[in-house]
Amino acid sequence: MKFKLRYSEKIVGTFLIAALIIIAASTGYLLLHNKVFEKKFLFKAKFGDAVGLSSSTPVYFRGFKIGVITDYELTEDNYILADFKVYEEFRKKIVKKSALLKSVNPVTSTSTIEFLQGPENFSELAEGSMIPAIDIPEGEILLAKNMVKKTGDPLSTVIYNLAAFSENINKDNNVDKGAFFRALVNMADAAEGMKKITDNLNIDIESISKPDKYGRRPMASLVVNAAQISDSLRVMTGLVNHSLMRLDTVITAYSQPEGLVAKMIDPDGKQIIEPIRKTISNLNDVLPKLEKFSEFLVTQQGQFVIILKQLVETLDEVQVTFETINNGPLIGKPKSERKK
Amino acid sequence: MQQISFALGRQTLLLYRKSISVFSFVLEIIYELKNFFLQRKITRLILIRQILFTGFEALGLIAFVAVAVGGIIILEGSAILPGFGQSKLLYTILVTVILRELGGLLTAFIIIARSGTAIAAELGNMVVNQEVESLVSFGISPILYLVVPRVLGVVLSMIALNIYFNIAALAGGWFMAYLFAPIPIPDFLYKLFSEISVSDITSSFIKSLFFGFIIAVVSSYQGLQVNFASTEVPQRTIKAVVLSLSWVIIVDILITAIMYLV
Repeated sequence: MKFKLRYSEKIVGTFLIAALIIIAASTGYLLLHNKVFEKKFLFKAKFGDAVGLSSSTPVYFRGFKIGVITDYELTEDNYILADFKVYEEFRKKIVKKSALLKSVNPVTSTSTIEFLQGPENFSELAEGSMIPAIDIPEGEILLAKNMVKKTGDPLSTVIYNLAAFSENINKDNNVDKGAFFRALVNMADAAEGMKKITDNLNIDIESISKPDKYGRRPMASLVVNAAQISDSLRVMTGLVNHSLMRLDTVITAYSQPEGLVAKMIDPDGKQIIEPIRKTISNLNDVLPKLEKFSEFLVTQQGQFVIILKQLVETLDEVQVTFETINNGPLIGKPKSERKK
Repeated sequence: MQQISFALGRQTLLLYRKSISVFSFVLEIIYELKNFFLQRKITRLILIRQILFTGFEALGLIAFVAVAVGGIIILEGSAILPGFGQSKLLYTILVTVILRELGGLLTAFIIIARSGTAIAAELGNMVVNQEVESLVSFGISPILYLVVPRVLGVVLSMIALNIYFNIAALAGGWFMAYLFAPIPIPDFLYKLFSEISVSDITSSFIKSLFFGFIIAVVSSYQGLQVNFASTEVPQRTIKAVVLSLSWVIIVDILITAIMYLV
C-alpha cells in the first residue's frame, strides 16, 4: 500500500493514459476501417422494398465491403431509390449490367446486400447511374439472361429461392399453376382413402382376433389347422412312400412268375399271367413318376411349413402395423381413443 | 379514506422534499466542479487516491470478469449459432453484449460493490465523528472537499475501467474462438471492427459517464445523510447500493432506448 501511495500519481496517470490511448486507437482504427476519410462515388440503387434497409447498410462483393447504402426513399412507382456510395478502391468493380441482391436475414431481420457484378468486367458504369436489385423487373431481366449470378447468406438464399419458386409456380402464364396445391389435395385425398382402408382392415383384424361364440379365435384356429394339415401331410407322404416300396417288391416278384399255382392255373401264361404281367409292367413304368411325385410332396412339405410359418409371422406384423397406423396422429384414431 | 389521502399526501410531500434535496445536491456538485479545478491542489490527492482505489485496484477483478464473460459468449455462441448457419453473428453478439450492455453494467456493479459502499460508509463515519461539521466550521465546503473529488474519481475510473473491460472481454472472446478454430488476431479484429460502429463506442462512453456519476452521487448523498448514530452507517450503505443499482439500470434502459431511437 505504501508503494502504491508513493507512486500513486504515476500509477493513476498510467492507468488513465493507457485507457485514453486504447480508446483513441480503437476509434482511429474504426474510422479507417469504415473508410470514413476515403473518397466515395455515388450511385443509385433501386429496390423492391425497404425491408431491412438502414441508413448505413453495407454492400458486399465477394466478402469485401465495397460501399454503403445511405439515404433511401419511396418513389412514385412504389420502388425504393437509395444512394449507394462506393469506396474509391472498388470503383472499377461497378460495371454495366450489374445488380444488387438484398437478402433479409430471418434471424436478425437485418439485410445483407450483395453486389452482383455484370459480365462486362471492363465497362465501368457511369457515376450516378442506377443499379437495380434483382427483386425489381430490371434486375429480374439481368438474372433471367444469366448476366448476374446470385450469392449470399445461405439461409436467406434458401428462403429467397423458395419465395421465387412459390411466386413463379403461381404465375398466370405457368401451365403448372396450382400444381403444388393440386398435389397437396391429391395427397390429402389419398391419405383419406388410406385412412378408410386401414380403418376397415383394422375392424377386420379386430374381428378376426376376437373369439367367436365358442370362445375360439379364428386366426389362432387357422394357424393351428394349418399346422395340423402340415403334420398330416407329412405322415401321409411317409405312408405313400412306404406303400410304393412294397408295391415295387410285389411288381418285381410278379414280373417273373415261376410258382406252382401259376403253372396250374395258366400253364402257357397267356390267359392270366401275360395280361397281369403287362399291367404290372405298365404300373412299373408309372412307379418312377409316382416316386417323383412322392419326393416332390416330401420336399414341398418343408416349403409348405415355412410358408405357413411366414404367413403366421406376416399376420403378426400386419397386426402390429395396423395397430401403429391406427394409433398414428396422421390418420389414426383420435388421441383419446388410442391405446395407451 | 381520509387516512389514506393523508398518508398519500404525506408520502408525496416526502418524495418531493427528497427530490428537491437530491436535485440541489447534484446542482451543488456541478457548481463546485468549477471551484475544484481552481483549487485543485487541495483536493488533488483525494482524487488520485479515489482513482487508485476505485479504478486501478479493481483492474484485476474487472479483467478476470471480462475475460470470463467474453469467453462464455463465444463458447455459447459457437455451440448454438453454427446450427442454423449464423456463425457470423458471433461477432455481432460479442459487440452488442459487451460494448453496448454488459461492459458498462458489470463494471458499474463491481464499482458499486467496491467503491459505492466504501464512499457511503466513509462519509457516514465522517458525519458521525463530526468531521464534516469541522470542515463547515472552517469554512470549507464538504461538497467541494469530500464529494467532488470522489465523483470525479469514480467517473474517471468508471470510464477507464469500462474501456479495460471491453478490451479484456474481446481478448477473452478471441482466446476462446482461437481454441475452437485458430483465427489470427488481425482476422479477428477485422471481423470484430466490421461489427463495431461509432455509436457503439459513443454509447459505451456515455453509459460509463452516467453510471460513474450516479454511483458517486448516490453513495455520497447517502453517506452524508447519516445523522448521529454509527448504526445508521450500514443502513445508509445498503440504501446506497440498492439505489445505485436501481438508477444504473434505469439510466441504462433510457440511454439504450435513446441510442436506438437516434
